[in-house]
Formats: sequence, C-alpha cells, structure tokens
Amino acid sequence: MTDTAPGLPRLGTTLFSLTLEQRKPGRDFASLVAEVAARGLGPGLEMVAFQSLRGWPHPSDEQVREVRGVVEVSGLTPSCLAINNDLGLYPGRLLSDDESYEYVAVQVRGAAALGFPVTRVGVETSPAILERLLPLAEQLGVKVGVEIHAPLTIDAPPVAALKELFTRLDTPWLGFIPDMSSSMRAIPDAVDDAHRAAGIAPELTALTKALWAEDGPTVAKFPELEARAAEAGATPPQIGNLKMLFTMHGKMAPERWADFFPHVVHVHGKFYGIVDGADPSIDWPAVARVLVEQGYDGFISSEYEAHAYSDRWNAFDQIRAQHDMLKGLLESQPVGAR
Amino acid sequence: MGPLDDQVVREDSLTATDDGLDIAIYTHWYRALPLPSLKRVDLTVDGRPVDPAVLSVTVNGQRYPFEALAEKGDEYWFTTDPAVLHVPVESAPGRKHRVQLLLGLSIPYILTGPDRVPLVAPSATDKTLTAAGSLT
Repeated sequence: MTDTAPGLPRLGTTLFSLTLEQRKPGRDFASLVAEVAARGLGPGLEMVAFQSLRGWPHPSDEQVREVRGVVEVSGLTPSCLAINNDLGLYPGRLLSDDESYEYVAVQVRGAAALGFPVTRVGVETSPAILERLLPLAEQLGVKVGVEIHAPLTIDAPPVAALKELFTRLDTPWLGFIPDMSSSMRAIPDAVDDAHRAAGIAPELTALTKALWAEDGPTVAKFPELEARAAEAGATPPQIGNLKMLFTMHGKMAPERWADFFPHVVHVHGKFYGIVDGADPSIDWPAVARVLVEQGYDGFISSEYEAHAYSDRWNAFDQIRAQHDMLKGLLESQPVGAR
Repeated sequence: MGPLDDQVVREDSLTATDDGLDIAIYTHWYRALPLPSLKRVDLTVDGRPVDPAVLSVTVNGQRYPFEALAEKGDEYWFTTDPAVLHVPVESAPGRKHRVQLLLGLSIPYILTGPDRVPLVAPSATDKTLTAAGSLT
C-alpha cells in the first residue's frame, strides 16, 4: 500500500479508474479489487455502486456478504461509495423531493451494509434533501458528501448554498468531496485521441479548447460553444461531445479548495495522466499544499479518467505513478503546514 | 465518445433468429443506467431505418417493446451486460449486415441548462458484421 506519514491525507483507488479493465473478458469485481491490493494501490478503496454492483440499489444479503468478503480478504479499507440521485430517471419530469430522498436513502443504507463510511452524491441533491438525510447519516454512521466536480466551482450558486447549509448545521456527517476536475490548468491531451476517433474536425477541438481557456465561468459558455460549433459545421452529436469537455473540465484556482474546509469529507484525486512524474493538466503541488495546510487526513481516491478518451495507457500503472507523485508532494510539505 | 464506443456493437453481436435479427449492444456509459435512459435508438440495418415502434429489447432476461422502456425506472442495464435489440429484418446465419446505430443515453443525474434537462450522451456505430445463427 502507498502509506503516507501519520497526520497526512491517505491514498487509495476508486474502481472507476478501471472502467476499461472492467470490460475485459474474465474480469469481475473480485479480480479488480484483488489486483488493486496486489499492486499496493490502497489503502483506500472506493467504487461507484451503480458501476460495480449488479442489482444496485437493491443488493441481496448474499451479495452484501460477498462484497464485504472480497474487500476484507484484499486488506483494503473501504473509503467511499459513490451513489447517484437519478433525478431525471423518467422522461419529461424530475423526481419529487420525496422520491429523491427515498432514492438516495436506500443507497446510504446500502453503503452502511457494505461497510463504507462515506457516500458521494452529486450537486443535484438539494440542500433540503441533504438536511433530511442528516438523521439517517448520523444514525448509520455514514457521511454524505456532495462531489464538487467540473463545471462547478466555489463561485457557483449551488455550492454557495451548500456551504451555507454545512456551516449552519455544523455537522461532521455532511460535507464536500472536492474533485480536481474543477480546478484544471489544461484540457488533457487524451481528448485529442477521442476526437480523432469520433471524426471530430481538429478545428472544432481547437475552438472548444480556446473557448475553455477564455476568462469567465465555464458554465456560461455553453450557448456560445453551441452556436459557434454549429456555424463551423459540427453535427448535433458532435456538439454534444464538445459540450462534454466543458462539463468535465473546470478551471478554478486550486488554492480555492481551502474555502471548502472544514467541511471536506473525502477527496477525489482526479487525473488524466502522469508524464515523467508530473501531472500536466492538474496542479497537484498546489492541491497537496492546500490539503496539508488544512490538516486534511481523510482519503484521496486516485480517479484516473483518461479512459473516457483513450485506451493508450494502463490504468494501474497510471495510478502507481500518481501515488508516487502524491506521496512525495504530501510528505515534502513544510512541517509547519502539517 | 471514447474507447467504449467501439464496444457498443461487437464482432459477435449479431444473431439470426426465427423472427429476424438480434443485435446485442453494450453501454458506452461507465455505470448502470435505468431503462428509461435508453432514450434514443436510431438504427439502420442494410441502409433501411428501423422504426423504434417495431423494436423490442431484452434486458435482464425480460423482453420489452422499445417504447415500454420509458416506464421501467426500477430496472437497470448493468455495465457489462448486453441489451439485445430484436429487429424485424430478414437474416440467416452467415449473412452480413451493415449496422448503423446512434445510441443516445439519457444521463439522469447530469442535468443541463435552465430547464434541468438530462444530458444525452450519444455513441455512433457503423459496422458490417456477420450474423451467427440460432434458428430452430
């Protein structure tokens, strides 16, 4: 395992990093967990419930026993279970507040049954629903964290509303899960692979990257992207792909993660590739400094996501490289900051 | 868009059956989605568009008319399981078919725009493949 010095953030892996591995013949849940452990990519283990567990959100008792058994044998430590609030489940309407609460609550109970101390939901889970989940979280001993993922930043109104809620409730059971997709310094090169394969003209990719790099909140740039890409000849599905880049890559200054403390319950170590021991698209030295200065000693789950764009790299090797980089960065922070 | 696009329709996806052609498809999204997420199945076989109204789909061992999927929010299409499209076009074991598919998955937790509409994630396939046989 990639152990870090006492008092520092702990490292780990989310099985989401292994999305392409999961599809390979002969792979199953147990073999993925076993390989994460064998390669020493713990101690933390996270997974997306809807990705890894057939039958979720209603696992059988036998399945719960099996999953717990696989994790126990691996020696990994459950860190976070990513769950979903599928508000747009049915065409033409969103789930009501009661439906949304029930949809999430059953998954928080499932996380408790599986032995996970933290669940991750998205920002579509409203402050009202979160407040309603608080007694359940407390009773089960399972934290509920809202993932702050691109295109969200500290300045987005829903994030401000969450900050206000967490400050008011002052509880350890609800909080934020920073995801480094919100604070990127470049759109990763892996994107070019995917666009080439999808037949998207390089000029469209360049247009999207240029708009992304301009000042201003990313979320406000969607209409301009749609209009300019259509003018340049992009088809509606291609425009969907281009818009996805804005959804997936934010450019908040990494120092702003400090503003989410003390309400951070877990961290997603999002990355799109380590090159020569460094990350070209995410400023991890800055992020590591913030986490150590804030005294964060929870888990950072390595979340390799270049698989969404390219299968050129081996995910296990990439996580190894990120762990080595992160361990070095965390342990080299000035003692005064720790 | 991405490596999973190439796996939506695989080399062994086509099967000739008694009542037509079965096409096994796999999701290009990383997680299981509820069945109403199968929002758009624009399918063309051998150059002829297939009306979704004549399609049926088998997921988790249950066969549904395509249009009934919108009501099945309590069933999920798992990450590594096929959904089988039953297409009423004539086929036979060994016959080649050109399959063009635009699969649009509605992502129920990614809401976009002021109206909070679920993102639709598209995946396009254009492959010519040989049908295996399960004729009785």
